[in-house]
Amino acid sequence: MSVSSTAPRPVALPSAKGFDAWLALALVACVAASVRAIWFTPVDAMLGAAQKIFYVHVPAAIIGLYLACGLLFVSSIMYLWIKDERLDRMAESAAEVGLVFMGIVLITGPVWARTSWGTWWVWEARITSTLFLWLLVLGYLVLRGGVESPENRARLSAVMGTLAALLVPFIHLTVKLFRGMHPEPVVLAPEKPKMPPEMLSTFGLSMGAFLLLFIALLRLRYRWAAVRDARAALEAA
Amino acid sequence: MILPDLTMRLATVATAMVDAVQDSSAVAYVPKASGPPDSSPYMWLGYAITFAAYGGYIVLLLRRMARARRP
Repeated sequence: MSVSSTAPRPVALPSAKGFDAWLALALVACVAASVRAIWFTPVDAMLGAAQKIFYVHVPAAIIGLYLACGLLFVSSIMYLWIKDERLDRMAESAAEVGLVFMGIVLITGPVWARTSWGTWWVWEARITSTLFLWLLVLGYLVLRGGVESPENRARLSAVMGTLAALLVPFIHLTVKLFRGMHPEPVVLAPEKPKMPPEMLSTFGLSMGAFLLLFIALLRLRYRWAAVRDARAALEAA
Repeated sequence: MILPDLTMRLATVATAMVDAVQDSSAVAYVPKASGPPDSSPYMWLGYAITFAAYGGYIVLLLRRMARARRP
């Protein structure tokens, strides 16, 4: 029996495991890092216990802005060039997980600012441009939900994702270009980290733990997108 | 000459002692002039928000995945 080449190929759903070892490991690491930060790391002499927000705020900022948006940028550019749907899925996943990380930056920042600056919010360059980036990435995800055709959706969102991620270098430079209240980089300072070793080691642990969490969430989000697309293809067939 | 001198010294010492007694009788304890105020509620709030946000997103992803696997 011959099969026509134009007939739709049967599509199988990819394996869709939810909770896995990566996620479990990441959660344990995040709890361990937070326990160390809260109970086994010295309290800052000037800012008090609230300074310990640093150990969740800064990793979320580095991962959300530089890693997630970097991934969004590279995947979007590569999609426009190669047109591989896996790149579109990666861009979509990086944007959504990055939105969560950046959201945490935008919420924990004001909590910390309330104690150190005496106000919840200041419309200064670093904070305002981070809020704009968060809104742009949110717009990227809303745009994806509003376009029916998969090809158009992938192409338009790749353009928007690329443009949104271009804001990241500007955000990085805001503390140098504009006078504001947000401090300059403490860990990624040009000469050396401006922290005592016991605080720096807690920060390193925290950074590693939240990086693991980012990878675990990205894998899970990507797998879900793959299952969703396969299911859509099955229903269309 | 010696007597007025001694009287003056005794008067100075007595005045200092009375001042000290008045100071310590006004308040029992004196707060430390320096040091940060207690900001631990803000630390707890920051960590609670962080874990609630990550936890909520994990639950959302697991529910999406479970729904996608349903036939």
